[in-house]
Amino acid sequence: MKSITFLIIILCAGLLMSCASVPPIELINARQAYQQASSGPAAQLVPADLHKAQEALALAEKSFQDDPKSFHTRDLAYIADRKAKTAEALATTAAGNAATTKANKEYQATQTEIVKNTKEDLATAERGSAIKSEQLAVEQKARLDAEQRASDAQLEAQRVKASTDAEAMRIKDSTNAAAMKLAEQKSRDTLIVFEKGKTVVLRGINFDFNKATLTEDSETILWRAYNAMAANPDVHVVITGHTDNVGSQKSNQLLSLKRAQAVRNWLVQKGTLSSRMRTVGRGQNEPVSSNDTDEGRADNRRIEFYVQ
Amino acid sequence: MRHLNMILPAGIVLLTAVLAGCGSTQVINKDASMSAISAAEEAGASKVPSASLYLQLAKEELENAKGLVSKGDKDQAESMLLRAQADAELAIALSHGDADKTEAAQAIERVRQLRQDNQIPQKGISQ
Repeated sequence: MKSITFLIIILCAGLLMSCASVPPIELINARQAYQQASSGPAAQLVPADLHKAQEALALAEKSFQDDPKSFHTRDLAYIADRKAKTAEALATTAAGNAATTKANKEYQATQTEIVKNTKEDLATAERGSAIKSEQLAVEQKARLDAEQRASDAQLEAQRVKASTDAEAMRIKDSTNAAAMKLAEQKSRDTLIVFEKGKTVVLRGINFDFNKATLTEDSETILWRAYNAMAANPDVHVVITGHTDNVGSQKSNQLLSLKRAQAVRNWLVQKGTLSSRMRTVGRGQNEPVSSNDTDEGRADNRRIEFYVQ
Repeated sequence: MRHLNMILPAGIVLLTAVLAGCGSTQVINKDASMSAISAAEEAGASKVPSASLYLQLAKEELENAKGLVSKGDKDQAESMLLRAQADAELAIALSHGDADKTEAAQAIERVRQLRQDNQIPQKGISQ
């Protein structure tokens, strides 16, 4: 009986002791809150506030030791819980501030980087623009040079063409002159056949208007006459001048005589003996064609060689 | 009569001291708690969900303290006021934390947007 009573007393004492050692919910919460806060950034960011929480928790623990069930213990534990949470909240705030500061610095750094990149891009663009301008200048110079060369070539071509044309013209003229000369020579060399008692009409001997001056184009036929005289040295001729009917009878008579004399003088100058030639003027008296037309009058203006 | 003149002031002083002593047992310092609650309200705790709960608790604890004072339980009232102060301070901290957190997020977003707009590779940004 005594042992049972003792056992009961022991059990009751143990029960009482276990009840007494159970902390209030406020203290449990405070311990957890402090544990959480101290394991987070609060220890590093807000150590002073975490220390206050620690002190508050210590007070609560002491109160719990002294008087576990008192309202003081619960209130101190409650306050310790709140201080731990406050420390954690302040740590969050500090972290936020740090993040804000870091972000603001990064914002400024980014802006600086952007400005730097923009400057570099601008410098690159300017260099590119300068290179492009230089290329354009080179291209423009090359184009101008090419145009100048083309212009020079065109001018040279024109000059060559002109020179060639001139040479061709000169050659043509020369050829023509030679041909004319040859023809003239040929014409000149064509012998006029003198037969005694016959009259040879020399057409193509021309004079200035109303004068007895021989024109240059008359020399070809005159040379033929000269050659004929030279080829027949024993021949004597009568050189007779004729005119058309323009002008008076008397003046035409005198003009025809003077023209016959002019022919004889030319032949004398070339070497024909003057004694072999006699001159006569017939005026307009012996026309061979009509004087009503230009052609007829041209036929009537003539020099005749009568071979004796 | 002369004795009466000397006793009357002494009596008045004694009575005042007694009244003052009785009064001091009923007066508690609510200033710290009330100041903390006002600060929490000014910090916008009522608009921050996580802080508004603690602000409400602080107010209730303040009222409880007043009730305890009226019941003459000064010790418990003062302890309750400390609770109120602790809750109010937590509400303040949470209010500031929320605002700072928002500000940090905005700052980080500004950086991200700036980098994106200018086609700059994003760096590791953490809050």
